[in-house]
Amino acid sequence: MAKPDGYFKRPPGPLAGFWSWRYLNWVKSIRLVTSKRVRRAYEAFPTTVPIGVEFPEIELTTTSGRVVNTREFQGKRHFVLFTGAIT
Amino acid sequence: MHELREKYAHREVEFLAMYVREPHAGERGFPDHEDHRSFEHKMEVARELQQLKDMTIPLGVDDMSQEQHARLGNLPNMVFVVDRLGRLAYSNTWLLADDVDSVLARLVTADDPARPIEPTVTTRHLGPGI
Repeated sequence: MAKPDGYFKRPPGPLAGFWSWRYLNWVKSIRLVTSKRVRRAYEAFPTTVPIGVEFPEIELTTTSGRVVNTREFQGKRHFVLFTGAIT
Repeated sequence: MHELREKYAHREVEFLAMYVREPHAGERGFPDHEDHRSFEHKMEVARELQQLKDMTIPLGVDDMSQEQHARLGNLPNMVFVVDRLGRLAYSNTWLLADDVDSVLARLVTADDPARPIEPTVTTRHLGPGI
């Protein structure tokens, strides 16, 4: 179902993504994007949870204190899970 | 994401955000943000994020070991669409709203072909996850 080229799209954003460099530590960012560890993580991503296979059970405590388990959606609802942070 | 949530609110689609480690804590644009000291601190920063972004989508917080995050790939801005049978339908290392919209439109239209829904989001880039 996913587009074949869907995995490694990089963030375009304004100025081809370079806008974000204003806010970041350049040395750390260059080290990160050129590190083998990060490259391996991106390369492994499609096989970590392959398309079409059962999604792992994820349990999280929400900011309101409720515990959400993704199993509670199974058989009832589709769901979108996304990750992020402030920085 | 909130636009998508509203669009699919009546088509049995749930949205859940996962707050993970701060990838750029302490860097030039974020001098006031440091690495999480404890789960309580992480939860506190997650609530700050929720307020900053005016989030209504439930925001879950992974524990300090980042165990759940690691199981999914340990990358900062991932997105996953899972069908009602619990199978992964789409994933990406960056949140692309139009892709997510297309996948959801296909899933909910397949559920009920009498009520087809078209992808409408044209924004290619939503920014880092949340």
